[in-house]
Amino acid sequence: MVELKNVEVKYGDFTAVKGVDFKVDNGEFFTLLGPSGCGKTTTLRAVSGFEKISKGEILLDGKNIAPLSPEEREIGFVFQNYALFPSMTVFNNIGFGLKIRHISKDKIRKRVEDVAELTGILEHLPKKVSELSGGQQQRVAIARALILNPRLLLMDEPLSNLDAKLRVSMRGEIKRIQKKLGIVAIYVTHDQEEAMAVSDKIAVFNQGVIEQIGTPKEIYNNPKTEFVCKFIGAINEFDEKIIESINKENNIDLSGKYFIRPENVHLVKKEEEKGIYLSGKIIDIEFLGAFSKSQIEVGNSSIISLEIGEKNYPQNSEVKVFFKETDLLKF
Amino acid sequence: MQEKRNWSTYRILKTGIFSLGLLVVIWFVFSFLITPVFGVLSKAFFLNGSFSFENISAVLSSKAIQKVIQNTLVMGIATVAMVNVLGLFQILVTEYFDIKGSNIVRFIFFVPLILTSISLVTGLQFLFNEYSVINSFIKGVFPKFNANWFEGFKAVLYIHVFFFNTYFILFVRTAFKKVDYSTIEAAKSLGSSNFYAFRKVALPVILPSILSSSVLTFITALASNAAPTMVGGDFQMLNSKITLLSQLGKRDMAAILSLILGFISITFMLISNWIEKKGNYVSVSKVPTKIRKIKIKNPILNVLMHILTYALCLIYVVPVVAIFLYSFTDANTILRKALPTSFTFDNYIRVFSSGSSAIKPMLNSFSISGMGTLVALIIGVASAIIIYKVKRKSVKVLELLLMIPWVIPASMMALGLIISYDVGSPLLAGKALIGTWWLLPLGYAVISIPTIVRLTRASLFNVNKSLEESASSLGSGPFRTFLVIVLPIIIPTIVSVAAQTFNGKLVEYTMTSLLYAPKFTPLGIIFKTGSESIDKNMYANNLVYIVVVMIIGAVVYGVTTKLRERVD
Repeated sequence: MVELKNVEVKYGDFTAVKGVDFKVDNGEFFTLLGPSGCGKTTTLRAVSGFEKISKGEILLDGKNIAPLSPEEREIGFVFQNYALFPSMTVFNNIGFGLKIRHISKDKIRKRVEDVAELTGILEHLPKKVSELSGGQQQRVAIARALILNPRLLLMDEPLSNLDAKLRVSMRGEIKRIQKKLGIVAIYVTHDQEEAMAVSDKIAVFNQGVIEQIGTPKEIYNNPKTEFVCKFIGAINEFDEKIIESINKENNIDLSGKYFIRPENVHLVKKEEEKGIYLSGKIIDIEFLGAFSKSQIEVGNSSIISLEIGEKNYPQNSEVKVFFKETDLLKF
Repeated sequence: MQEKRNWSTYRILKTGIFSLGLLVVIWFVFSFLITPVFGVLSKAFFLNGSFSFENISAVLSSKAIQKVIQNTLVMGIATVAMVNVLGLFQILVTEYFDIKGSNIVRFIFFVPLILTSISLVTGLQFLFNEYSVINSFIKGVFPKFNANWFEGFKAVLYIHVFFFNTYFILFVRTAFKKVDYSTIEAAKSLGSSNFYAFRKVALPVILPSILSSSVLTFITALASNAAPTMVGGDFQMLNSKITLLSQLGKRDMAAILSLILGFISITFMLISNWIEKKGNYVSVSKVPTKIRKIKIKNPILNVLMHILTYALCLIYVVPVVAIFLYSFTDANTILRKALPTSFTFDNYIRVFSSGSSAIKPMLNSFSISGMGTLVALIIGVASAIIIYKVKRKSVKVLELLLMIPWVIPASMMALGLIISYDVGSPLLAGKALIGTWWLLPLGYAVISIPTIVRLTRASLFNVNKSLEESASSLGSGPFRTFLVIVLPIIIPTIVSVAAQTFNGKLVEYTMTSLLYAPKFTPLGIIFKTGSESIDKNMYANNLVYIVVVMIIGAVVYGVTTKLRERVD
């Protein structure tokens, strides 16, 4: 179990991470998510020991590891650029951590082969790292991080150098390996879809602080702050003018700013169900196969609706937009 | 338990090695970089123990010295002007215009990289001597031709122009390769001619590199010594005068002249820095296109450019081939500079047979240059590691001090060493260096250190930080990480800079002429005495030495190019 208590990292006068607290249970896949420059990578590097913290504690199974140097922390780290040692073969890259600990050659071979099999690169062991493809290099980096049976696996945007298709298959692979070994994983990414797909829990970072921690579902459905709500998934923002129209058409009394997910906004011809209705004009409909994405003009702004199936409305036709009051988000 | 014990011994070892390294570096910098400079300054400014400008004003008011300074400056300017003209032509015909066989032409233009310093001057002096085959041939065709042309200003300029253009080729060619070809195409699509596009579009982009290379060429030309000494005749330059004065025992005058040379060099070095800081034009294009060769449309111009290019190649190639061929003729033919009629291995057998006196200078050069390189490597690499590992203000000072020999001319450093270690010094446990074998290797080490520090430091800082972090996350300590991860990555750079240092010092002339001990005379000096000798064998030996030096130069050039490709 890993626990960060009030961790702060400073670069000179600039505070990159401000009082971060979180707890990751054994076997959990924990993701630090946020835009670039939000402090997520700095937090990860603080856990690994590459950055010194100026305040707080980092507890690994109850013991404060903050004063330890990286080589004393028993962590596995996967770098964004893999950081494979160019002068060594795949085998020696993976076996590096064992060799340092003066493990016998037979044991090293056995262990390297086990990890290589787990990560699917057994046949590449004798090769030079430069002979491997991006995806294979990624697997070597993971194998090398796992060789010492670390209590903690840290990954810094490990998929950002791969192409889109490989990224999707590799993220499944990473999750499979982590679950199989049952270790704690902390993962950094700026890709919210990736975070949703692999994580047990996500911490959303913004400007050095954590805005919200929760399961992907909690974060998506019940965002605690406006930042989280806007950063995760697509969102419609109802400014005061739209709210005014809503109030007028539905005879209700909302005030302030509201948000709603596009999939909770529906296009209807008649007012049947109980809920909120709003008149608008179709500007554009994109047919995306399984979905249709409609853009509706209401006053000076537009609302996006995402619905299953095909929608047939001529352009500029008048439509009614329908949604439930319970789906509105307010901060 | 075992691990814990290892850790502490290892820590002691690590700290011990590091402190020892630091101490050695500081001692070396103080003894061989700082002390010599102060030695020269005190010789120049102190008369009978008190500070005075008397020495300086006496030297500066001498008509002969004024002439030498004037000669040096004029030669510097003339060299820069001519090198730029020649260099631009070379860039045009190898990189811009479509000239047949441009790959071979480019290769030939790199000859100056293997034929350097006094070996070059010796070879050319042999070939262009008043009585040489080449001059006799020309005189046969044009009876009015002055066969004694290879002496004085003209000869020195000839050598400078054709063989000092390495900075130009290296700097400007690299810059030219970065010119975005689409900008030239754009200029042409708007109606400009090839030459106009080159002048208005490509030239401004490479102008900063032309300026920097000009400053470096200028400084190199100012410090020229082998050429004015060997073929200058009455045309003396600062460094040749410094050598002469020092050999005559007038060290205070030599010190003042070296100070003047140093002052001019530093001034221009600062100008060069200022130019570099002003920055270059960077291509703004998202997808820069590589330069494509342009065909010259005008047929007459095209033929003319081809003829000029090939003629220039001959100027580079003929000396190399001729020296090579002559080295296989008998000593009499060589002495008479007759047309070779038969070939023999005699010269090589004489030089290389065991116990021969002719092999001694070569062995001396190898061992002195080798030791100089070794010392420079130890101090230079250790310093680079200290700079890399210790991030403190005091290390910045060390870094600056290590660059002293880079801004101060070799002759001044050499004089400083002579002045400082003429008698026993407490810095060397009471030993003196003059007349010992060690003085010259130390001098070579001193002038080689800046380059070694700069290149090693650069390659250290190029090592991806995450490689080190990755090793440390796997449990490797900083010392071990350095040995196992960082060192293998920077080794190619170290090997290539070591090879270049060794090669460069093999026939170095300026330091050598000031510091060598007569008992261990190296090649640089033998080239001069041999070419003045009436002993036909000594005369012939020179050609063998030049061939050996050329071969080593070519091998070193090839190896370093390969290594550099690997680093990239």
